[in-house]
Amino acid sequence: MPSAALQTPTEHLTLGHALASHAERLSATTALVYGRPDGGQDRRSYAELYAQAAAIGAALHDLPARTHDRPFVLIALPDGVDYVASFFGSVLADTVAVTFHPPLMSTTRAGRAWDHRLEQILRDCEPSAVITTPELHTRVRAVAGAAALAPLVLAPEDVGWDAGAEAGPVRTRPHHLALLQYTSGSTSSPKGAMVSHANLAHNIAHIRRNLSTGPGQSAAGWLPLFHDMGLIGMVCHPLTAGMSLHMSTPTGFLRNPLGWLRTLSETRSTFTIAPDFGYATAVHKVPEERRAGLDLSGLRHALNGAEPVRRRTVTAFTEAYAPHGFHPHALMPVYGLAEATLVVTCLDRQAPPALHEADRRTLGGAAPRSGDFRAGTARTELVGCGSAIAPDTEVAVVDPRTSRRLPAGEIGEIWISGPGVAGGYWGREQASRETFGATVDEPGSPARRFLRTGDLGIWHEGQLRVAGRIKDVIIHRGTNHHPQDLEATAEGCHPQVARAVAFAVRDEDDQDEQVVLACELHAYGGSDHAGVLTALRTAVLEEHGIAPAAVAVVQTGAVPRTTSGKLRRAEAAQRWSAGEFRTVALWHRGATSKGGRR
Amino acid sequence: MTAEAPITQRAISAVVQASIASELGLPEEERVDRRTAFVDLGLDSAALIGLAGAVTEELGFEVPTEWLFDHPTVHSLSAFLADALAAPEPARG
Repeated sequence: MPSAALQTPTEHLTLGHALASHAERLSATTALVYGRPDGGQDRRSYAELYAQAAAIGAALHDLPARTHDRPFVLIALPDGVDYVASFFGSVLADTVAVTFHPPLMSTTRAGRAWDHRLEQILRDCEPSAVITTPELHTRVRAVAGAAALAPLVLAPEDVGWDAGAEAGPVRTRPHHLALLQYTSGSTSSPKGAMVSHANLAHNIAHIRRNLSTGPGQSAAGWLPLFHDMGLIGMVCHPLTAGMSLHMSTPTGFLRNPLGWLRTLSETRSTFTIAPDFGYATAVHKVPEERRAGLDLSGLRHALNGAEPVRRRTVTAFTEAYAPHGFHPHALMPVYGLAEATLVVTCLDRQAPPALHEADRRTLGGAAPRSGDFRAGTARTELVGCGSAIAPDTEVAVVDPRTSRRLPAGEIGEIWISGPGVAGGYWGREQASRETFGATVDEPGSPARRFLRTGDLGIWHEGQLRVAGRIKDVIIHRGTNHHPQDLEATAEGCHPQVARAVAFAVRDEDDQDEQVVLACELHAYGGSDHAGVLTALRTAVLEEHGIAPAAVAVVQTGAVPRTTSGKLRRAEAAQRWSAGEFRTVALWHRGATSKGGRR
Repeated sequence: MTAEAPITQRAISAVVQASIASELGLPEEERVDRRTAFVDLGLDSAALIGLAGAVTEELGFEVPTEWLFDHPTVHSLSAFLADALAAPEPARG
């Protein structure tokens, strides 16, 4: 760890205060460069970013509040400088940003899924304003109208700004809400984690302290801004630190993965974040001859989070880019979640990857009843994600049945307590109590409240290792998908489908998660099974961006359920992997596309 | 496009097939079926964006991802791209 006396970064009360301070001291320094879809770039200095944000903030701060004591402002913009300026505008005005996105694909079905999701969020928090692009205004008004709401709908270009203008006051207050982060959540119940300015300031200050980031450094990345890792880790953190940030978009990255590496190289960036598949893509989609001239020697920390870190990715990325200056210990696995603002554990230094092989079955022996280790091979590799990011943050591994703390080496649910933990889910008292109000059963323990993460973990050699999940969440390319959402899509995609179950199984080398959907039909005689299977695949792709590894029609009653009719997805996954699922009709990804999936 | 000979549908088809093989991590000599829908080959939305990028790069011609949804097989996409490339003013989206 660097010397604390020299390296402790200047602490800012809030993001708003940090930006105002940088606008004064680093005024002409580049704050943000964003790649546009047309290949051009937008650029803002700190003074310009502050001026634009302040102008947007001025348009927001007199809005009437509705369901909260301050107004909610939903942002549904493409990733870019206007998104960042709008978020900081909300921060400066002390309104509460609700982060969202435009439709992800232009197909009709994807559009309907977006309308539905937007309507649910609008109903849940009743924003006073929606900031979106002009071409979406009519559509947003129509969706809001269906929810009997009429928010102010505005576009960033409607708000003029002048970098030389007199700056307004910073209205941001630490204990006010900054952000409702809707977890990429279940169709039936989108839940907005309530993140305060104090939460953000705490998490960002400790990321900075661990990584020693500050003015004079650059960062580069492409994560989406509606996701906490993109907005907080990849954007708010570098801008709070006074760094120069160079951003692309997820689409920009996928179309041209080399662009990310080139930007890291050209800007001598010290920091980036990507999920595991991002690093894998940078290896497999950038042929060796195109890596010539890259210099990654400035990259001190390449965070790897949001999905399980895979040994083969760490090895392959390091082998591919060590000849281009990449330090083998710079790839840093982190653990975090939106309910704890962002980062929960990470390393405070460069270190070799801490890999630890464990027996999945013995791990499972101590797991809760519903503990769901994906069926498959018995050996599994657990990657060390460091320790608690801050001394005042406690990360406990707890037996969820007894609420008792477990010793190192035993698997249990990861519980978190500390200033980074969000204030609960907006408007959901019961869910908030269940998730955010746990207490550890131990003699003489103060009534400290813990966040139950639903993730299973184990302490080994001083590092937290994430071992699976209690919940049935499916992680696909760094994004969490609730099986309920995929099942709802399946049940709505073809009139013959009665009930569906979605689950994930692991591939042979226990690495990638493969999504499987099985459905029961209303009637089997004369049904167009092939048509059902096609409809399932297309619908799940367009609404969720996932290509299932297999889809099946099964007999009524074949899907395992509890006596009360609840789906038993973990059991379904086990039966599937064991080949015990009898299918009426089956499609699975053929031999032509086997192997090499990221 | 320049005044060079228009690239044939067959050549485009080979480019698309090679890009898909790369996207799926198949051996170089392996070729996917030309009339199977992309989704059935196991390409998800992120892979389709990557495929559009790779085809753009290979052909030197902007291929928006939407085109892959409108023309969801190797055969239909190659036929569409061959027409677009042959046209004096290529249709854009």
